[in-house]
Amino acid sequence: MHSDTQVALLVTRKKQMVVSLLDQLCQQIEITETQYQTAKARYEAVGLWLSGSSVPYLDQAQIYPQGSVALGTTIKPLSSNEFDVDLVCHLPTLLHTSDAHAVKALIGTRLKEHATYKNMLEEKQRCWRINYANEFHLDITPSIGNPHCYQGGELVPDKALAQWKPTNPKGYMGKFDQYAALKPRFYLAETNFARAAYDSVESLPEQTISKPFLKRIVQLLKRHRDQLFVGTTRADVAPISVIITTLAGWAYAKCAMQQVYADAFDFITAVIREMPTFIRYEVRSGRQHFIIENETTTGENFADKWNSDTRLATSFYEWHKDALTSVESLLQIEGTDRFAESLSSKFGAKKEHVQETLTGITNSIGQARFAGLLAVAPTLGLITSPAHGSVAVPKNTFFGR
Amino acid sequence: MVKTLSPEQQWIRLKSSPICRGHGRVRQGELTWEFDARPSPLSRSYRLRIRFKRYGSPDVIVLSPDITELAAGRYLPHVYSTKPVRLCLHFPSHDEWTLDKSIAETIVPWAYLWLMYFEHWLATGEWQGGGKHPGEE
Repeated sequence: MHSDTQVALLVTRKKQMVVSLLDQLCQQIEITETQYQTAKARYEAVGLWLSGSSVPYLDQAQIYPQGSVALGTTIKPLSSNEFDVDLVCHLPTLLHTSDAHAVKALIGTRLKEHATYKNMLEEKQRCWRINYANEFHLDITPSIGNPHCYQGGELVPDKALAQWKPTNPKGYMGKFDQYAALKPRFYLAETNFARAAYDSVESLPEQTISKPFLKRIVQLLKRHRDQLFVGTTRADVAPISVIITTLAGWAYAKCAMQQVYADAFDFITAVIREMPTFIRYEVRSGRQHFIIENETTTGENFADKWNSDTRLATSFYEWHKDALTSVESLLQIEGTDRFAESLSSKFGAKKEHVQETLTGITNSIGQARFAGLLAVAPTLGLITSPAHGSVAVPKNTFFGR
Repeated sequence: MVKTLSPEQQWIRLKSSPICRGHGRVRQGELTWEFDARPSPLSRSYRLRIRFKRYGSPDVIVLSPDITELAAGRYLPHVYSTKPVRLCLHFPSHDEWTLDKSIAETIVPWAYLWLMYFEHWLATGEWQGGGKHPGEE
């Protein structure tokens, strides 16, 4: 094999393995199917309890998830086992002239009437929290219809409960899922080079990622954000999830529709690189004004706070630069142990999770070894089934102290 | 009688193997062969030196990187010595390696395997490659 081809093959396989490591990291920190089903059963029960009220307006209550649980982008907080399950309690018959305090109180009063919920209830600024210790907490935010939104949006109280502001959790989720359904295209999977190179060594694994790329990218970026900010003095300026998610969604759609990439790794880094190009600027009264618009309603700017606190924009750009470098520089790493360190230091991977992932890889080598299938291929090293040009690894017993 | 392979015959086999491209020679009856081995795409590339004398047992030394330094004070598993690092790749009395076998098809792939388990050990503290310690049967 020509040496350029060998280098290309090595890099390609390395990128594939790195993507797989990142994918496993995300799997290890997301809500499990069982946890999700439990959470769902719990919030549906809460929904039934609320709508079972005889109080007008409340009897029409509908509960549904928003945010990461709805989007499939959950990540466990760094220092706790509890997932945030963000819910909307939609009260469709209330008018936007209603007092936000009163609407929130309506829900709180009903929850306090429940023998179990009343002991698990915690009041937050805009929502009610029901704590399921060590599992998750349900954050229930009231919402009412938005007669001015042609996209079927809603209104939720602002932080001070002083007024209602537009939002559209269902519309947002629909749009995000549309983006996530776009399939990126990889030319390496199609070219003769890859076919020839892999056919001679080992077949190309079908899929390197276990769920839509966009969702994995968002999880990875949020985890990197947590690792960079949580527990530091700058925790209050960490980029918010909805900004990361929105920009990633747009960048993903652009990359998936407009270009073909060599492989998943190149695609992922391209998406991250594109994110800031979707931040809009306007000069308003002589000052730079940032806009990251919720495209599914009118009047919700996710970057609103950046315009009153300039630290937020600065920290977003710092975070973005670090995130991109952290992913890109994975390719420069040599040494399984160095990968383990980087996954922990840059992406907050727990030691036991990294260990589990690496042991999985090593075990597959071990199984092939005992089945007599293990071989060494030029450039790629150990492979789990013999291929043309590879050398079998005979049985051996390591000796020595 | 089993036909043993001379250092020269081993040299020819090493030279033509696709997995240990490198250089070496036979001088005064002793074979030396140096090559680079990367056990997996995520791994480092290690420079190894094999030495072999007729009727002897092949010796594998890790020239670089300095793996005692990488081990940072931890006791290296399955080595004969640490300065230089000489790998214990097979159990002598099991006939896993015998004088009629090609080093390129035994010692070399085992060295890859050792390096892979070594990196796993560096990362996790666990040696997953199994093996025996002196005194065990």
